[in-house]
Amino acid sequence: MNKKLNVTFTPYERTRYAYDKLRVCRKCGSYTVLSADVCPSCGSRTLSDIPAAARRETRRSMQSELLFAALLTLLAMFFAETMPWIGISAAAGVVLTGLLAFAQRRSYEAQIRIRTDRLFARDRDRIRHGLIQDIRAAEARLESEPARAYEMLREVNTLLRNDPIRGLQAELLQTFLLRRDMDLLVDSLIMESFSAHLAGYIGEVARLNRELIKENAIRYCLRYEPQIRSLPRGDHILASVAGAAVRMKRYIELYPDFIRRYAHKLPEDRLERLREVLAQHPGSLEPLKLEADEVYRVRFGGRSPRRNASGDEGDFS
Amino acid sequence: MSAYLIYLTYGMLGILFLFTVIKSFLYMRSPKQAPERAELDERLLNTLNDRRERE
Repeated sequence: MNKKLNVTFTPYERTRYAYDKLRVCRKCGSYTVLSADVCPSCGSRTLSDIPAAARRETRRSMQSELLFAALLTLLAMFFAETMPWIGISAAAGVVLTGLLAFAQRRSYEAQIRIRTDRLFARDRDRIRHGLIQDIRAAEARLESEPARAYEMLREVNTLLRNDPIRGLQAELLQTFLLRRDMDLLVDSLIMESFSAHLAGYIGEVARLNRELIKENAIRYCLRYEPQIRSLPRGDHILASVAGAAVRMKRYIELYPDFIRRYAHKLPEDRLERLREVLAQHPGSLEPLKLEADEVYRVRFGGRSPRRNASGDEGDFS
Repeated sequence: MSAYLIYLTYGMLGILFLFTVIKSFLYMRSPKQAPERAELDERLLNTLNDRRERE
């Protein structure tokens, strides 16, 4: 068995929108998600975020329009021969330019969003190219700095979501010694296809921090249950996931058959938790209740139940 | 010659008027047409990931 690496990750910085991670270089125009200030392509410290880039373009375009209006005013004044017409031209120019400036000010925020949309449409290929470069940079570190490579892939995965990137992350994670205090992600790694690494990772996370196991992870295990069962310790993976699922009443209601299949492998605290939730809702999920009671009776006989101190969500919502 | 120069003034003022009125109208309309940030995010993700799937 390969020895797992003891590593430390920098916490994953969660942003409200995925594109908040994206940076564009003012000098060479390349995109990246791996650096906040130094451009990986040209090495200059000219990276800026997307809203800032859109704001800069919007401001420049608005200033050009105001300059054009001012130029027209000056030309009108220049060609006016009489003082009254010079005055009329100046007044009309000031009023109309003022109106334009007012309209620009009113719609500034909306214009930034429109500009951002155009920027994404215009630079779509450049963004993709930048992200692919980021993946290559991560791949170059796979051997020498696997933890850093994982962090880089994690950043790229914010925008570029596909199975190869997720699979590579899951594979890397399986080489690390995972700890509860690590900033682990599960939902963003859920793939379309089956991956033994991902299944193993989900099982480990279910053991370490069951709160990270959400509906997507449970569904993934359900979808690929036969494949996971055929893995070494596959049953343990599924039992850990079932154990994590019993923390919420909603999951118990959604996946009673899945939980029932692994009830006999649930640890004591999980089994008690399951029985506790089921006892609070008599008349529902009878087959699961019977199975849980039977497993409990077989396993613990006449022993009195131990109180649950596992930190489950109290409202069972 | 000088009589014609005033027409240039009229022309400049006319262009200025049309330019500012059209631009102002477009600006005033833009808040309704601008996508929300969540929409922008979704569009970008769709663009980046759909293409990948097709390839």
